[in-house]
Amino acid sequence: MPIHVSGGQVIVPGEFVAEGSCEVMGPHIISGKRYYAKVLSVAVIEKPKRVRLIPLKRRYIPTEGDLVVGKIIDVGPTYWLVDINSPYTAFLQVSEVFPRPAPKERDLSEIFQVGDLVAAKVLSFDFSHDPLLTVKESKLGKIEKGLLVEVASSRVSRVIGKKGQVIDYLRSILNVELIVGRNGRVVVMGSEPEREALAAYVVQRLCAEPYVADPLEEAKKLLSRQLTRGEST
Amino acid sequence: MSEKVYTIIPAPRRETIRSMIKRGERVDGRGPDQYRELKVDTGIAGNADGSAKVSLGHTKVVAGVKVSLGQPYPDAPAAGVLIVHAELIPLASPIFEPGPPDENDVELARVIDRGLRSASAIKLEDMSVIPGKQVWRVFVDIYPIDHDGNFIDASGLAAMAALLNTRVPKLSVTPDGTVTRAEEKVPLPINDIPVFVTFAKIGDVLVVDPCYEEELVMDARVTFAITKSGNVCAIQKGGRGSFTPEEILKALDTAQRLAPELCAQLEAAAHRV
Amino acid sequence: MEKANVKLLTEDGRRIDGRGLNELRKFRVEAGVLKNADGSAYIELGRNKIMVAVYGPKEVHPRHEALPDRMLLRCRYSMLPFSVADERKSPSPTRREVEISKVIREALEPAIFLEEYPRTSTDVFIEVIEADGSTRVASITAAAVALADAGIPMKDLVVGVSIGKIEGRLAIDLSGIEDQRGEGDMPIALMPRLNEITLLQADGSFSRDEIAQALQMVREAAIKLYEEQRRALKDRYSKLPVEVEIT
Repeated sequence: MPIHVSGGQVIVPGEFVAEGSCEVMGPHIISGKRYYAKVLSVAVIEKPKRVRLIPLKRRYIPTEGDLVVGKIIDVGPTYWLVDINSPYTAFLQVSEVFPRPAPKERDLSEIFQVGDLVAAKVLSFDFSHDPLLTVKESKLGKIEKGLLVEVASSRVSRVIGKKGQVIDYLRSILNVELIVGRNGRVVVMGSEPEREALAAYVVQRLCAEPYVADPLEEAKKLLSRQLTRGEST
Repeated sequence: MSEKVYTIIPAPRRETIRSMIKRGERVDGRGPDQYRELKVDTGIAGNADGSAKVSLGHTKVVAGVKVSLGQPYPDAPAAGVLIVHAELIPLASPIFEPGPPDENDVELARVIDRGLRSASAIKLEDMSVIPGKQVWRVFVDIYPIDHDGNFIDASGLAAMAALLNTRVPKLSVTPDGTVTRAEEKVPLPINDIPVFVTFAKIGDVLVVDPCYEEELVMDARVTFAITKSGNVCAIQKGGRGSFTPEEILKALDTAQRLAPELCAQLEAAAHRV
Repeated sequence: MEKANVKLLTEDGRRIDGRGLNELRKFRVEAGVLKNADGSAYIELGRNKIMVAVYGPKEVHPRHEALPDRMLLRCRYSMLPFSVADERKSPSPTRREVEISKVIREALEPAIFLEEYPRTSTDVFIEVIEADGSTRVASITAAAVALADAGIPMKDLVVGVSIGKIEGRLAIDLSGIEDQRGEGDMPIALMPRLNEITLLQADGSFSRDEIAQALQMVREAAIKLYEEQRRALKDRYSKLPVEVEIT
C-alpha cells in the first residue's frame, strides 16, 4: 500500500502520507522514500497511485501576471501602497498608472484614495523585493462599485472555472460581471442588487469547500437551489 | 501602520454597508434595533473568585474577579474597593498591539467602572471588615478574546456576570481585631444589575450592538448603562461624528426597551450552576 | 508554608489527585476556535485552560525587524490576572512570562519552515485563563495546533509534557501543587514524528539515569497528546463535506 491516507481525510503537518513509487502533489516533505504532509491539508486520491494534498488555509503569494484586487492603504509622493491580502504589501508606482510621465505636483489621492479598490496586475515579485503592480492595461484600474466577496485565495480559481465557464455562466444567467482577483477578492458588478447578491452567494459557497470536482456543475446546482427557494417563498 | 490593512474598509464595501443600512438592512441580516444572540457562561476560570465568558455573535469576552483583603481608600474608610481593568489583547484582533494599556483600554475599563459604580452594582459599604483598616478589594479584569464589534456591551455584560458568579469567604472578626476566614463562601452583596447598550450612528440611522464592519463605517457611537429599574447610570459618546438630541433620546428609548432582557439573561446565567 | 505535611505520593504510588506516576491529567484540545485569528487552539489539561491565537504570516511591524531570509516568529505567553490560585497577578508582563515566551518560541521554531516566507512575521499569542501547573508545556501543545491551523508549513507538530520528581519518584505532568512542593520539574517539548527535543528545562536535582528515564516517560505521554492534537485538527475540518472522485 503506497498511499496511507484516504480521500477526504484531513492531514496534519508531519503526517505520513505515502511511500515508495507513487505521486504526491501539493505541499509535502520527502524523507527517503516516505512522503509527509507539510501543511494542514485535505487528501484527494486522484489516481490509484496519485494523491493530492490540498492546503486548507494558505496566504496568497503574488505571482507575476496575476490579476489581483488591491486595496489602497497609503498614498506616497510617487506611489500607492496596496494591500493585496498577502503577507507582502504591494507598490503601485505612478508610472504604472499613466501611459506618459505623470503630471507633476499632482496630489496622488485625487487619483486613488485610501480605501479604494483597484484591479491590478502583478508586474514583478520575488521574496526579497515587494510586489510591484500595474494598472496600465484595459479593464484594470479603480473599481467604482460592486459587491466585494472575500474567499480563500487557494480556491478562487474555481470562480473562473475551466476556460472561464463559471464566469460566463453567471454572466449569462444573472447579467453580472465578475472581477476575480487571484488574491481571493472577487468583485461582482451588476445592475440589480438582488442578482449581484445571488452571484456573490454562489461565489462564496463555491469557495467554502476544500475541494470541488466540477465548479461549473456546482455553480449551477447552487444557483438553481437559490432560485427555486426564492420562488417558493 | 500594521493595523491599517484591517481597519481600512474597501470603498465599495463601505458603500454596500451604508446603503443597506439606509434601507433598514444590516450585513448580518439583523434589523436596526436587534441585538445579537447573547451567550453567558459562568465559572469558566476556577482560580478566580468569579468568572464569566460572554459571546455576542462572534465577539467573545472573558472576565474574572479576584477578591482580597486590603486597605480602604482614605476617602471611603468603611467601604470595599472596586477596581476594573480591561485590556484589548492582540489575541483578540490584529488591530490590537501588545504593550501597556492605551486610551482604548482605559476608556473601556472606565466606562464599565462608571456603570457598575453609579448603579451601586455592589453594595461596597457592606464590604468593610474593620472600618478604616481592612476591607474587601474586588478586582474585575476584562479580556476580549475575539473581536466582532461592540466590546463595551460584551465587556459590561461579562463583568456583571462575573460579579454575580463571585463567592467570597465568610469572615468573622473577634473584638481584638483578628479576622478569620470560614470555609463557607457567600455571594457578593449585589444591589443592581446594570447592562450596557451601545448604538452606532451610520449616516442618519442608529443601529444597536454594531458588529465590527459597522464600527468601521460608523460616524459615532453612544453607550447607555441601564439599571434594573430602567434608569441611566452611565453614558459614553465616542467617535468623530455627532448626534442630534432627538437621536440620543430615540437610542435611549431602545436601550431601555432592550435592557430588561439582557439583565434577565445575566440573572438566568447566575442561577445556572 | 506547611511543606512538610503534604504527602504528594501514597505508599501504593498514587498521587494527590489519584493519578499514577506516568499518567497525564484529563486533556482536551480544540482547533480553530476564534474567528479573527488566522489559526487558534484551546487546551484543557487538568484544570489548566489556555487559549492560543496565531496571526500570520503577515508583514512585519516594525518593518526593520524583518529578516531577509526567513519568517520572524514572535511569541507572547501571558497569564490573565485571575488565572492564578493565589492573589491577583498584575497584568503587566513578569520576568517569568518574558522568559517563558522565549523558550516557547524556541520550542516551536524547529518545527516550522521559517524560510518559506522571508520578511514576514507570525505572532503566537497565548493567554492562560486558568493555571494549575505545567502551563508552558500545555501552551506549546496548543500553539502547535494553532500554527498548523493557520496553515503554517511545518515538519511536525510539537508536544509539550512536564515531568518532575515527587517523593523521590519521577512523575509525568505535574499539577500546581506538585510543582510547588515537589523536588524538581522538567518541562520538555518534542516533535513526535522526528523524536527530537525542542524544549528542555529543569530545576531541582536529577541523576543521569533519571533524565534518561524521564525522556522515555515523556515520549510515551507525548504520543497520547499528539493523538489529541491530530483529532482536534481533523475534527475541526472533517465536518466539511468533501466530494472526491477518482478519475
